[in-house]
Amino acid sequence: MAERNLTINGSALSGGGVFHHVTIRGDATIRGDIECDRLKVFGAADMKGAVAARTFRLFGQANVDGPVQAEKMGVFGEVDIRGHACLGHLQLRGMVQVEGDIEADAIRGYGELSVSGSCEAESVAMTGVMHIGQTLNAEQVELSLCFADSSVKEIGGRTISITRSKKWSAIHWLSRFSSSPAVLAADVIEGDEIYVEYTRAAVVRGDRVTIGPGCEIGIVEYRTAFVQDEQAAVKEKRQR
Amino acid sequence: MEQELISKKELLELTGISYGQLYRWKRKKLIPEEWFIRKSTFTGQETFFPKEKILARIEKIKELKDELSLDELAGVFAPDPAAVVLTKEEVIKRHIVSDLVMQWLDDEWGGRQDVSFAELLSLYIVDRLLRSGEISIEEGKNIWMMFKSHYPKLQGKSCELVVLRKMGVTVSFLVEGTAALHVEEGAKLIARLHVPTYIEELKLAISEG
Repeated sequence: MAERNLTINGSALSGGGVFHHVTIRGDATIRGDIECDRLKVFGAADMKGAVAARTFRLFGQANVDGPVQAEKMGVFGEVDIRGHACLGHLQLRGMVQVEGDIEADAIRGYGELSVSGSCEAESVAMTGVMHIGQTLNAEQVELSLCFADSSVKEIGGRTISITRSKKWSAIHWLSRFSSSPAVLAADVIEGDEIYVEYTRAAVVRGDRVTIGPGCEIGIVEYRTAFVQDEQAAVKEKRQR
Repeated sequence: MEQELISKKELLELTGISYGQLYRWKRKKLIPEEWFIRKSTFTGQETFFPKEKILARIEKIKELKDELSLDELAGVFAPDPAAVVLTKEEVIKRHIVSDLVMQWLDDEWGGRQDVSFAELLSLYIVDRLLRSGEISIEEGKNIWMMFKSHYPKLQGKSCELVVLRKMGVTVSFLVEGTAALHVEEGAKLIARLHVPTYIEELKLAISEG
């Protein structure tokens, strides 16, 4: 990779290019593709073009109008991506919004993940809110519902666990008067091992299925085991 | 000419694989996105697959998954093959296509010795058609010409080769993706080939060598 570095302090405009390190402190607008080993943003960045970085750490806010490729991405703040996101490891503290699809090895963290298309990963472990327009496909899904309602059209994988977060009670204490704490709405949930809480879904299909408290499920289809909590409503269940 | 579909539930029962495996294979691009056909049924959304293709694919994955890693398998099934170049001798030695078809290549190029994957693919498909006895040599040559000039435009996208004949006149064309065909009366559908299937076959034929 190139030996040049790009450093922006204050406010500036750049045309992009190939760099070793890119550091933005303040406010930058980048018009053009950017390729680098390490991209750090402290503040705000507005990027129009593709971003390819080995590590991409964001403290603040960024807009990317183009595809993003990164082996490691850390978001402490908010990022808006309009394009395909292909990531190795995504560490989230804040919010990631993708207008497109996201592909990753691992996604973990706290906050909100919104994807208009589908989300594919080996493992997803999130506490917070998730909105997936199409399919959430992962070997392992662990979603801990918190702060607000989540919605995922379709969840597929090997082990799927949807729980309501028991942490953050201090924050819950503040919002305890709100009428409906966080729930998940889904059309279809399919997996080998499924545990769901506080979920509204039309269909849940799997090998071993546990329907926990606060669920409203249309149809459950299971193969070997089925457990239902007293505080769950299941309209129809079938073993196949 | 609607293709037969199989629901996801039936598929899992028939093949004995689990949801986890199916989703994993999809993630690894072993099963193409366009085979997941979503339809509304009275129980809500259901996913269907083109029956013949998915069964053949799963059979092949099961067969190969002990020898190859999932990533290597994805390479076998990817619609856009790596830039493979074989020499003419290798092609002949491995009996990938018949001598007759190889002769065309000679006529066209004379002395050139190397054959790219795309060129080999066009020969391979035409060769298979000829061997099936459905087309004449002259027709085969026309299909070959058509394929050679139009296939590169698809840039590795999934497509089908369709051959129609009416009153002895043969027409061939490529269709992007998979679409239902509705053909006028009297016309005979000679062949309809899913090109990626042949890409896989050819890749295996090359790698087995």
